[in-house]
Amino acid sequence: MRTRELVEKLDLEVLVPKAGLDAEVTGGYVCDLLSWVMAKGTEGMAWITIQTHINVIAVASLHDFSCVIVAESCEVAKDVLDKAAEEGIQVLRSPLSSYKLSGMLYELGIKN
Amino acid sequence: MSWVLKTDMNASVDLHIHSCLSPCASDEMTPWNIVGMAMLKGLDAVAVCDHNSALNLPAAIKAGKEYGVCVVPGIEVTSREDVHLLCYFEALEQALELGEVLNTKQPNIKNKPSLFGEQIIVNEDDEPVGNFERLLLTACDLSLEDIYTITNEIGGIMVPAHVNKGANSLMIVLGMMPQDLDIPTVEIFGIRPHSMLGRLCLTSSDAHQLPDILEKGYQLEVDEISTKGIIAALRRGEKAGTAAKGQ
Repeated sequence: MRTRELVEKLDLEVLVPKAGLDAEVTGGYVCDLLSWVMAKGTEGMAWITIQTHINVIAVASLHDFSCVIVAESCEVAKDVLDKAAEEGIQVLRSPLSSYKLSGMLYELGIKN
Repeated sequence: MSWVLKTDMNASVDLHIHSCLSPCASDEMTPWNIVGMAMLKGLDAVAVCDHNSALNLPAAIKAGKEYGVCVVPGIEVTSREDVHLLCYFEALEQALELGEVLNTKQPNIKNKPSLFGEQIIVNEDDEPVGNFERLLLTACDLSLEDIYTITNEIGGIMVPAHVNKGANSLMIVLGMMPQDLDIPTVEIFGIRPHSMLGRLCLTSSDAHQLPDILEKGYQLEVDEISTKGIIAALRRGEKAGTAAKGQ
């Protein structure tokens, strides 16, 4: 499944148009500790988090995540979005909680 | 007749500075540059605290002897809970010992300099000798309590870093100080939080570039200007006779 489909099915806001919506989503992850995600991340993951520190982009880039999904409509600063555009990392957003988002992602068939 | 010479004095300090070994610090933050800048700024003592490593400390100590600045060996350890903890020691060997422990506790993820920055190792004379390959920004597989115990066993003191601000702050991550640990000193950012009453609240620069190193003016009351005197002051915390001026 591509991130484009995620955006449609989960009604997500696209925050980095430049990064495109063609990345292949191979799995999902929910975690707000950057160190943890650094250690456990794998390529193609859709990372659901409320953490919007600029290092989120570095971590997503490190593992070539398909996208970062910011839950609970958390604000994402401009410098973070600029960095995401630079690194080609898509950042999506939803008003829903991480719990609900991960449940919906799972129902869509992302079971890794 | 015997008499005791009391040597209460105020030391101008900055006890949290990153060298070029920390990927987030600029390449100009070589140990000799840091200590040289400290000398120019009129500081009595600095601590170099890189993320999870002590490899650039020998150079910092040598620079300290050359420039007449007291250099406290330190490491900024990342706990499993993603909390940053400053571990300070009197002797270089103790910091190196903690560094060796941490070497076995981080996941073996290779650094990507284009994302995180270079991790430059220097020899005692400040010459770059290589790049540290493993990413130093990850958490160690040690809890806050583990780090407290290990640091104490080696003979040092653990001071939670920037407890009230930042992604890796103890108060932001855990919401409260650990109840069973003796923590007389914490590092704060900005105005002393009310929750830290009763503890010595250190203000440091957390400098990642040379101009950010503190100017002279922030002081710690010590018995002597030495690593021994500074560690003793950190252990005393807010008790009679120790207060950090300039807050």
